[in-house]
Amino acid sequence: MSPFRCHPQIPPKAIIDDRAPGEQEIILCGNPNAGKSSLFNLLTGGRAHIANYPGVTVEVKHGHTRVNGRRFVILDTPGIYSLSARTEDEVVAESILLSHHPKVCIQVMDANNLSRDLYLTLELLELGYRPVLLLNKWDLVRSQRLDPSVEALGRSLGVKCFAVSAKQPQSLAPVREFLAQLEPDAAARAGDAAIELDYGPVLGPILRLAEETLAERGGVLPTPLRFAALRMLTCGLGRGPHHGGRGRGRYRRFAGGPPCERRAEPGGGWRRHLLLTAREACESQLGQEPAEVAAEQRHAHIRRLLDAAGFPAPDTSIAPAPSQRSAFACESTGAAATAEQVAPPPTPTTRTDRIDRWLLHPVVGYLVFIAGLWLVFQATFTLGAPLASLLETVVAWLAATAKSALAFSPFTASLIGEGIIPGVGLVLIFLPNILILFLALALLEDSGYLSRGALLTDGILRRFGLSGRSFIPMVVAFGCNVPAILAARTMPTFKDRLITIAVIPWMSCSARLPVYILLAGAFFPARWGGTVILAMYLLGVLAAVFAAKLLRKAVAGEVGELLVELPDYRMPRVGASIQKMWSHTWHYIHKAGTIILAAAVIIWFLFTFPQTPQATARAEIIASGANPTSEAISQVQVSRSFAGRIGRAIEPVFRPLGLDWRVAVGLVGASVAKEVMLSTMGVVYGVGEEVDAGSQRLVAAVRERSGLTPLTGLALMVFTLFYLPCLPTLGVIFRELMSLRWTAAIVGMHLATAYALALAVVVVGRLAGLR
Amino acid sequence: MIAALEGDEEVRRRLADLGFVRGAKVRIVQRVAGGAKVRLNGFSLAMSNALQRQVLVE
Repeated sequence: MSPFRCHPQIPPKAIIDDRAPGEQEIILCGNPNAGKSSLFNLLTGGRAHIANYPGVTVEVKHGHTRVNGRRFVILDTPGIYSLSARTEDEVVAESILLSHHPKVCIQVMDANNLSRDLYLTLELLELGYRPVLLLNKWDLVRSQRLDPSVEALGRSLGVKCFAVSAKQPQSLAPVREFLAQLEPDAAARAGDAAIELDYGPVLGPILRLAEETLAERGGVLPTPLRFAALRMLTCGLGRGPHHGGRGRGRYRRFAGGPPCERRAEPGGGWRRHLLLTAREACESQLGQEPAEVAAEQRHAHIRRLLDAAGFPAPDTSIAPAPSQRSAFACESTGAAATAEQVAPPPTPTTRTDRIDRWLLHPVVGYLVFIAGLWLVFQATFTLGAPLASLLETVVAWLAATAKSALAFSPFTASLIGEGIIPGVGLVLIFLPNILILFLALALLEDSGYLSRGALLTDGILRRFGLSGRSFIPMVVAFGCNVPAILAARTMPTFKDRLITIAVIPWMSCSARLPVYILLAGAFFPARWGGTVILAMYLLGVLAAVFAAKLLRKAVAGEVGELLVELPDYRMPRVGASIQKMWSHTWHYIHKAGTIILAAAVIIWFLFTFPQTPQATARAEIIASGANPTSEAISQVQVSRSFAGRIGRAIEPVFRPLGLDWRVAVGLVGASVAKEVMLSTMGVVYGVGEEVDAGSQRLVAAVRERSGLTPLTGLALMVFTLFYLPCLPTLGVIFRELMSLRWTAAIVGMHLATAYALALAVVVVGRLAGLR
Repeated sequence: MIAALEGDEEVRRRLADLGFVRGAKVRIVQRVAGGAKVRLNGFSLAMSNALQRQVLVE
């Protein structure tokens, strides 16, 4: 097996499915936080179509625009810092850039951060692209009373350069003019590289050798020669950047084509030889890897460019002879840190820095953070609750109306009125909560605070095998697990994602609350009720954190070290946030809705068939000498249904926990959606389906007729907390992890933990003399 | 001023791409529990302490 783990390629996909004839393509790329999405919105009028690349969790969007009668489709790539193709975003972006042939490639750059943004530009040029550079946030440059030359920069790179500002839409006029005047045969990409950088005395000659060898033996390359040669030499040995399990397999199928191939091939040894030569030379002469050497040369070139064009170069200079080396953050001595601060002119503190002094403060910062969390939660639940109950009423009314309207066909009436509509309702009922939560998160992200949150929580979470980035998904999980799993996409490594996703379902989502309330209300005196419920929440969090630590050891990877940009603070843009809110919510509906609809139908089927007519049930009950109340009748009916049979079949498993088949049936139902547990219990205990947690009749029924005691009631609560995420959550887990193996493992882990802990509760309680 | 990078290959390359190269000036702006806000080339980053230790300066 070749030791190379090279840059996998994703096959091109027709992302743009609504291209009009004659429409020309523009690709938009750039760093995250450069303002790409603002400019995208300005150019396309904000209407975006979002597509998902197959096999990865990256979104790609496109929109349309018209300039002087010419129509363009603008394809937005994920924000990336470089094209090294190590993260999913980069792989997707590169795949797009290689497989498309756009008229124009526009790179959106932060004019105040050119020394970083130009890195991508250099790579684009080496790839053969001649990007049009939009230096965004120009208003900030101007406010610093500087006068750099945009034209000079453009000239030295050989590309067109525009200074724009998303805050001043009219600054886009020259860009639109340029687009309007494009030649019909213009293309953004030529076959050769648009720039040839000098990679220094060590890497340079090897690079030339590599180019020559590739030219002879490399075959047809999709990229310019130099780019391919560089790729080959900076290839890594060892583990790939992402994906475990099935995901890796999928990449392997698609991987192929030059420059680095995974399959051992005849004559493939020369690639390895070149790579090893480069590594050895760089290590011995410079003490660095080829990739580092290349990066260094690029950054040096960038500095020269910026100096020549009159852009200020913050904090950078060429190194003097090495004197004494020490770690950057020497916590033991602190010497290095102080040396930094004594050094000549420190950059002036910005407004963002001043704000951060408080928001990242060891005391105030955390207080603000917790207050913010609380605020978000309050908004989500208190604002969302009345809307949610309104929706509930509407759904119930719809179901009833459908049932009576379809009374001519009992089967359809039942299917639609008792299966589909309530099922869909399950998804919709959470919509208000989710919308608010996503809006709050979008606003926080846009303001720049979210990355500070990651920084604040990283220190603590790291000790438990999670990173600061898992913080947001975990918070969202308290509202609903489904969007929380979706939010876990932001984590860069598969292992981090896996661990976070595995423990998210133990953050008790809002659907479990009714079950807790019911059981706590039935078995514990009122003043204890709240404490018990809080204990459940805490138990979930504790277990999640503990499990994460264990999982981290089992999965044997280090927590991905935190490295995120801290963008400047700004007033969040409400429009853009709302857009993001809709986009994420729609994703949730789409992913959860389809599954839950199917599940609702299945559950309905399981509970409705085989049918036992009332008369038969009544006769049975009378024959057995009992009173044929409506409750007894519906009990018999449930018992005879598939769900009842399943419940009775698995009852032996639950007996040690002190639970009977009726509870088991409820749990089966709740595996689809936690809310179902309540209505199932209502049916099973003969109280009827229209119940909620406050229903006194249900509470009484559970207390008196369920055969549960406070101890077993507690065990049941514990079991419900841990045993399975609801079906939509499971579905989303499967789609995010893309691996049946891991999903099954998670299911197993949850079931085992649930059983063990519930059993522990019962055993300990019994030992203590409780019943 | 950065002199060298240590540690895992992938991480080193990521850092280098972002601008952590020899000769670049990097500064701790503010410390937090377990990490810090760091300034490099005019923009700010959040870095965990372990990652900071991989950057050797002089």
